Amino acid sequence: MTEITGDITKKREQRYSYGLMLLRECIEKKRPLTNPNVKERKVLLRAENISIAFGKLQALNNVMVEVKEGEILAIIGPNGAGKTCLLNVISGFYRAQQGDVYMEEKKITHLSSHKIAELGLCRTFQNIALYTGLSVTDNIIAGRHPHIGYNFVTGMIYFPWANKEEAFQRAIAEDIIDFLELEHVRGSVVGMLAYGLRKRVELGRALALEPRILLLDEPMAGMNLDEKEDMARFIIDINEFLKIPIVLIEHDMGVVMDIADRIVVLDFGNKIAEGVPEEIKGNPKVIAAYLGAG
Amino acid sequence: MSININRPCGTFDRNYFQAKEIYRTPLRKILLALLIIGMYLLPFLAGDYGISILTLICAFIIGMLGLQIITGYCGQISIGHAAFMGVGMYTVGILQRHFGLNFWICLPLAGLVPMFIGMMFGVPALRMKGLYLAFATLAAHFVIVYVISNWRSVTNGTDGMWMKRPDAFFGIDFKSDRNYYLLVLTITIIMTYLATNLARSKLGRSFVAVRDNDIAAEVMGINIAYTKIMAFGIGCFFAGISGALGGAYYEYVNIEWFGLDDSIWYLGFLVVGGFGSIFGAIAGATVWKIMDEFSTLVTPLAEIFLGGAAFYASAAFSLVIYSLIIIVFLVLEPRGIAHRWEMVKRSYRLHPFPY
Repeated sequence: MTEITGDITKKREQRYSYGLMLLRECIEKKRPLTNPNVKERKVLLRAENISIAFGKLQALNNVMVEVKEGEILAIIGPNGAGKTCLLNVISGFYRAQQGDVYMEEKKITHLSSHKIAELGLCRTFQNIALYTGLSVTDNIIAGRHPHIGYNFVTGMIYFPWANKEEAFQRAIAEDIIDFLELEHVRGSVVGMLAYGLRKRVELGRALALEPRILLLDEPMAGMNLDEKEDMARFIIDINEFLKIPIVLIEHDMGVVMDIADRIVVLDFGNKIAEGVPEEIKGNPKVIAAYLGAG
Repeated sequence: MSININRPCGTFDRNYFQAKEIYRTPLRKILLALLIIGMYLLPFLAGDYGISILTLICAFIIGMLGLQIITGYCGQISIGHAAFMGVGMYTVGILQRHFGLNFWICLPLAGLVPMFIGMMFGVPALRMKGLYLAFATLAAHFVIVYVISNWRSVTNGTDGMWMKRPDAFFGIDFKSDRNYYLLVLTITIIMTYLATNLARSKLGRSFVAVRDNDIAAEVMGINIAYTKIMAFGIGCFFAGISGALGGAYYEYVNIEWFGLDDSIWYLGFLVVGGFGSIFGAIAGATVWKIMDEFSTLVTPLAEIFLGGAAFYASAAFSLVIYSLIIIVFLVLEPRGIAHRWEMVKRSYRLHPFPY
């Protein structure tokens, strides 16, 4: 038993400490954690000229968004501006009528949602979309679905290697539980949890997929100040240690201005501004969109 | 599903293998072993009548596990489950009659043939949900019954056909009911083991994911089409095995044995047992068959109260009892016996304290 446990620990180190390794390397070589020069970063995800209309309502009109390595990109805009619609197009949920989405130069517009998820593009939902009948741990292990190797016959007979694989997945789920400070609820059924915790479980499930890009749809909606601060800390931690670029839709301007590297502003399906928070704050178009042109 | 809830205090997990064990404490392992040994010893105590009830309970547990996988775990309603049992029965019957195959070869085929037919009829589930899907699976029932009753050259139509029990195996003769019960019990235990592991492995989790939130499941990398069709396939595999064992017990197959009402009672007693747990399926099937026997026993008593009218009332008696049980459970305990059992276990664990 100890051998197998040791084996799992070794595997975990190989696989999951790359964030820590990067951190150590940066400290030793006195190199800043992220490349401060935003312009030099590689583009990971590119949505080109996305247009989509529901009947006569033009939900998105020629929107172009780029997500670069290791950045936090916030998408803001008034209600009904098309923010969630853009996320749905990127995650393969809606089909764009025009335009394409590329992930590292690979076209993903035509792929189905689960294929896109397997490529490492993962999202959370505005209204929590957890598997309410499963426990927190099982929810997170369910998020690891594409990374579990055995087939269903092996699972039914529960061969030793399936058992080992399950224990390994459980170990990774426990890592994520540690990271998101969910230890005290790890066994409880998700349907019974409080709202703030459920949001955190959903973030954990998204992390379990080992995403290369994480799309968060209003992760702080309906939370109090403490919970918002916690969530902001987790988002920054994910971005810094795991090097995962994050696309964030959020209405709380304080949070957005504090944690975002870049901001894209949408209004009635059009992109009206893009830039660092300081530029957006002073942009007259953005102010007009939020307060009404006057 | 929940992980740490049903552990007595003082039980600590030292590694992740222990953390996901189903029977964690030695006491529970001993109790399980005693239960299984008791089930094997029961036929030596019970008479022929008891053995026949036990055999049918075991066969129906397998079928109920199949429906639990489709409806309880994956959330796809199926009102054609009894018909898939019928496909299992007729697979064995046809193979024995026309090809003279051994029962041991027929049995896996009795699972695989309904599996493929079930996958075929599971395709509408990709587009439909809830009540609409129920009607689509209803079609499965009528198509299967129509084919069996009209393809006379192969299925002998509505006359039914004889079936043979398995040949002797290492000197054990299955012609006797007691030995046949032991065989059915063994297969039931194996199938329960398979279903339990399915529920806690990769595919089982994706079933629950599709049931609870299919939109999120798709975005989290679960192939919904594959998952739903696998649910129908595996569920019908169980149904087919159940049908084959039940048919071989009577040594006769008939189209009357898997009517539409059977499919509906299947769903009803799954509610009584409890959705989404293996124990629920076992409890549901057991209650169903016990109530079946109970109503036959009670019917003569009705004659005392109703006099001559009892002759007409007796036919409906079992239906009234079934319906009453299902209504009572729907109103008072919609999560079934399984949930009630969890509560009993929890209160036992915390005994002197109320919470």
